[in-house]
Amino acid sequence: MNDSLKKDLIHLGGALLAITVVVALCLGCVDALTRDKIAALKEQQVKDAMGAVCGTDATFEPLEADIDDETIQDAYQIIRNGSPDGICVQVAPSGYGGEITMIVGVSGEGAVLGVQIVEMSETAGLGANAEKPEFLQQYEGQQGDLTVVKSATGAEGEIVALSGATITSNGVTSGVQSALDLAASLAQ
Amino acid sequence: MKNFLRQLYEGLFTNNPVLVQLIGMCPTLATTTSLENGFGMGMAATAVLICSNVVISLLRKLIPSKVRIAAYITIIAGFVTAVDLLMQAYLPDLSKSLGLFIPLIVVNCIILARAEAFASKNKVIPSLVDGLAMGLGFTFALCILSTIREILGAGTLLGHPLFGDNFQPAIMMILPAGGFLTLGFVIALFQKILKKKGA
Repeated sequence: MNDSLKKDLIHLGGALLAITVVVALCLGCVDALTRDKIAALKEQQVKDAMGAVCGTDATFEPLEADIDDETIQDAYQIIRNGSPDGICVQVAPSGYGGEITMIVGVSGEGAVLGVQIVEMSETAGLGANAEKPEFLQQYEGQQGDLTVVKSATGAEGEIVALSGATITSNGVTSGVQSALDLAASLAQ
Repeated sequence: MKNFLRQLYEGLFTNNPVLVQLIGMCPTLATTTSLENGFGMGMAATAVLICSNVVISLLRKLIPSKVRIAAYITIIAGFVTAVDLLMQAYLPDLSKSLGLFIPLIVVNCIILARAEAFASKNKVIPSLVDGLAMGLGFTFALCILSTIREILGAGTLLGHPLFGDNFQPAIMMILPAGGFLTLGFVIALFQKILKKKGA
């Protein structure tokens, strides 16, 4: 390797290294400033959703059970008035634009208490409508096996899909199903 | 001052990055489904553009030309990540709805194009103004597109319903196809207006 090439490499590499180090340092500072705030926001969101689904009088204890369903991220035992009453599950089924993180509550009788979406990246105006109460309320009180239909026929376990967003509707429904199945397997 | 106004005029109208230069198409089409998203995207990109233009202009004599693109991208990526983290912390709702498109500002060609074509050859103040002008031009174009698409595709503006309950929005307008259609019509109209003014 001749000297000028060596010099060139050191010069170019050195310049890039210097820029990278400075940028990394700055980002470290921004991260330190925002990390706690972001983590707190995320935690608060999940807590709010759990409260909205299971009622503000409920407290939660981590559920001790073997869960082999991969979409289930977290599971809690709902404690009401000192005794266990159903479960609250954080599930993340896949939708149209990635995972849909949501909270599902299941009552002691094995029926859905409610569903709240914490985070998703579904299409605005279509799949994103899944977080509207009109859609999510359909799950309340459901038990057993759910099916997604285009228009209601009145049968049990029916969920009417969002128009133009079948994949999202299927995703949310499979998440609720995971929670119901977990509750059913625990009840046995 | 005169230069400043001319730069602003160029960025907003005669040399608008989206409607005249036709760069930065990906975020333009993807995020203009609602006015809030379009405006948020425009502002985030403007912030990154101003910062990166200033820093690149300051370093223009220090960055070896052989590795300039790598250096620019590193600087731009740094600012984008900072904006992303700050938005997650202080504007969580907007950050949620823009999602992946914030990190993707790194590869927004408007920012690299202005670094290469302007900031690397000009002093700091003109570069700052250039970043502001181009960023506002980008935001302006995004606001026009997203207003049209939100009204036609969802029947709302900034989330408020504009029409009665019986209004059936044309869902296609907020899908990708509607983005291309709107963009085409807006560019055509814009060119017509510019031609009339220039003539």
